[in-house]
Amino acid sequence: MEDRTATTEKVHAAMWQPTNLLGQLTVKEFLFSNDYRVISVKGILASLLILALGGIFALTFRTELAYPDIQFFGARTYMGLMTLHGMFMVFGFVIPIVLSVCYYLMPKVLKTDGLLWAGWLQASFWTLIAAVALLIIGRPDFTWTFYAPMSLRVGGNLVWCGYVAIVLVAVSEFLAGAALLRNVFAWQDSWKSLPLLGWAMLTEGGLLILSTPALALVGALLLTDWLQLTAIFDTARGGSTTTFLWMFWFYGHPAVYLPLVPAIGILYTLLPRFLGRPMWSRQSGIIAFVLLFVLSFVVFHHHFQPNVTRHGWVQRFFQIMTLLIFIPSTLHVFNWIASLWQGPIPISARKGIPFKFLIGAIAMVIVGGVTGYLNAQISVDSDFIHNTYWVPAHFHAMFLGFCAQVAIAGIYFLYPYFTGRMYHSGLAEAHFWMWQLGIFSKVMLMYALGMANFPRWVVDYLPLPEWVTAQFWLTIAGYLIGLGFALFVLNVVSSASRGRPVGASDPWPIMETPLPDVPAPTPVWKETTK
Amino acid sequence: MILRLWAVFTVVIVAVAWYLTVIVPPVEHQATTSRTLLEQYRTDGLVPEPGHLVLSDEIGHETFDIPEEDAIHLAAARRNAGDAMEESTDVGMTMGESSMGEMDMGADKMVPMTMTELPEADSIETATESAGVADEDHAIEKDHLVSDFKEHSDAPVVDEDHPHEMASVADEHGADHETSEQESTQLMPGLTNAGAHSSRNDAHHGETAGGHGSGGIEVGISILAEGSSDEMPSLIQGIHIDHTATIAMHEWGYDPMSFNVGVGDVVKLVISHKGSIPHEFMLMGELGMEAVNYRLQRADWNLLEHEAIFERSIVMPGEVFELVVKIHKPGMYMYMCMFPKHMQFGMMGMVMAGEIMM
Repeated sequence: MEDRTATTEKVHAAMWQPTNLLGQLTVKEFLFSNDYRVISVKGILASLLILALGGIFALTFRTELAYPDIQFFGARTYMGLMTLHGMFMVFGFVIPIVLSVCYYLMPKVLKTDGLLWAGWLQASFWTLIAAVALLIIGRPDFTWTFYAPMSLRVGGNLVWCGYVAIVLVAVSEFLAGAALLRNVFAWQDSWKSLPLLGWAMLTEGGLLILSTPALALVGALLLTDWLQLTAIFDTARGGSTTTFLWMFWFYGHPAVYLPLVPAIGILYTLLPRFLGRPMWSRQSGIIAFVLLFVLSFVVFHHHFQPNVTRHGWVQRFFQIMTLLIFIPSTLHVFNWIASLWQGPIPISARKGIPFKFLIGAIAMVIVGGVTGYLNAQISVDSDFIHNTYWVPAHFHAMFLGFCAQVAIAGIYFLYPYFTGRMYHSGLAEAHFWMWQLGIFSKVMLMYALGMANFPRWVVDYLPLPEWVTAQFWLTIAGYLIGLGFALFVLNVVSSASRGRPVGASDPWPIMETPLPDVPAPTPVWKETTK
Repeated sequence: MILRLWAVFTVVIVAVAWYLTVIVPPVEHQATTSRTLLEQYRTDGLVPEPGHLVLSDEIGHETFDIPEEDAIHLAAARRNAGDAMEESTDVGMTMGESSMGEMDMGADKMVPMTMTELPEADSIETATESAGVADEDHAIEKDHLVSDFKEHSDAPVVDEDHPHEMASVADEHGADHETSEQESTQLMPGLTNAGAHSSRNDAHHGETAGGHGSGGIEVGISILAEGSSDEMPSLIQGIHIDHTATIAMHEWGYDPMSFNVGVGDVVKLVISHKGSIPHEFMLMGELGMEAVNYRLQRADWNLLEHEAIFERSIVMPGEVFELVVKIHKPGMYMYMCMFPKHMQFGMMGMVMAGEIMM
């Protein structure tokens, strides 16, 4: 045990001191301090707020979708809810939350005292808040992909808020990317010894810097098109929808890796911390990050595969590149599996909620990734699954099942460092199981609906038996996830004053034997041999 | 303290946002980009008045011909389809020299070849006559339209001798009008409605509806008259109208999207353009839709628009025209705008006749 702790120290080499950070902060400090811990915890709490927003919208339209026919509201309200759900979850929750967790981990893993260019991160945070506020005010209903010219025709007189919000999101992400790159390039040691979180942040920074200008341009051009100053996307005045697709998805595909890459980085940081041994292979992780970075810019056509405004060889090229994504993804996943397989998993990890969430996330990334093989192929995609529930099933498995669960693991892990106290493990356990059950059944039912050709973005549907049953249970699964989240919020708020104090010691000691006051769980194989 | 403030703040924000999105009714009128290029052109006097479109000599009429490569594919398909078509050679394509002849067109054989369903010209005539349209009406209608053209422009009017000039290659090259029409039907097995080759019923192109084999009993629906609201009363004298359906087209859809009629009904469709960009109005039967679907799935074939029972190829914003049809068979008839992507955006609707009413 001594040896293992020493290894951990060597691998991790961090100064982890649990403190009651949130209790000591004044509101002013909380809102405007450039301390990296404050920026991190502020980002996490804001993202959770936005998750609550996106989640309540999801539950609202899920309730409507539970039965065929219109019960509570019509298509316009539904599209508004769907748009805000998508935009809040993608731009306001899943990307910022993984980044915020990384803001806390980075200075510790990269052995700096704080984040450089923290002011830029502060600006990034407030820009995002402004974007969210504009979205609530404008309430656009043009879906989170806002395809033109549809997005120029809908939404009422306040729809410009949506376009400005798109620009602000891009600015926010660009600032975050610049700050991340600055911090990684401050690494003094050799690049070979840069921790995997550093590589993740390098990839993330590159993705952000290179892709977000396209998003800013799309938002700005939508605004000028709407104001009749230009006609870039408006087909009625000579614009081109294809231009929109190319520009938006040039951002859009790297964008779906924006939450993925930091989540992988968090996993690479926390997994050795809980296992008490280094990752199985550093090399493969680095190679996978580089491949993921390069490939992410040459696969974006798979988002509009049935659109045929390009030569067949271009389509094939993008299909092949998309299939190649399997190489880095598989390198990552097998690296995690091998690290888990390499030796015994300490009892402290088995009982640790963050570790459980990490394992759940790995399971879900496999579910989402393996089925992504079908999305990647032009024939299957164009003929069967494009614009069916299969597609949301895939990205919910990835975003919610993987990225969000890793972020939640990170929050549970960091909880003692923010409050000086431990979360309530019973509530956390309930949250964990509700989410596993909820997310898995939700994703699987969505896949089933996708195979039954259930279209995306519909408020009403025919009462076909294969649709009705799945939609009903999908709604139940959604409520389960919502209930889990409510328990999580309750846990976060109440444990800050009632949780077990952690003190100055390491809240996550690695233990092969259970604590004296906790009975050792009987291994399953022993029970069966009795 | 901060966490509690955060929790309260979260509840407040969620409640406000939920109230705004769910309780507050959504905007009734969408803020459209009000001025399209077309409107600009119209104020500049560059666009003719609705309903007064004329043919221009400057635009080559071959624009509407079958593209050369498509003609090669059609010829190859025909050869592959068997010797039944051996004789129809008047299509004016370079089929003999084509090296595409060897390509595997096996898929074409899958299409049921229903030669027997091809109607004789006589039967169509009978059909239209039985539907109650007298020949005099055609004469009136045609004369009226021709005078209409003459009235509004100096551009040449489509000659009576070449009424199908815009319609199809077959017509253009065929010596005998009726024969070539039938053969062009044979040429595209599975691509036509059961029999009736669609003539371009577009009044702007100088051809009237209801006359030569546009629809009929075989297709299940026939066109009795077509024209503006003013000229309609004279065209439908003696015809009893069972229903009148108003169809409005806009971006992107038809309103209503579907309506029911009975078999044997004579229905007057009042079609108005409420949108802001040019559209098309086409009426097709189920087999015609199947044919379009088939062609759409053939990546190597261009989609030609010669399958419609009725087609008015350009309807300008603000235009209103009327169409009188007789329903002969139960089934589904679709109307749509086949401008690129317009149908995909929702510009389609259904006439449900008889037993399959919705």
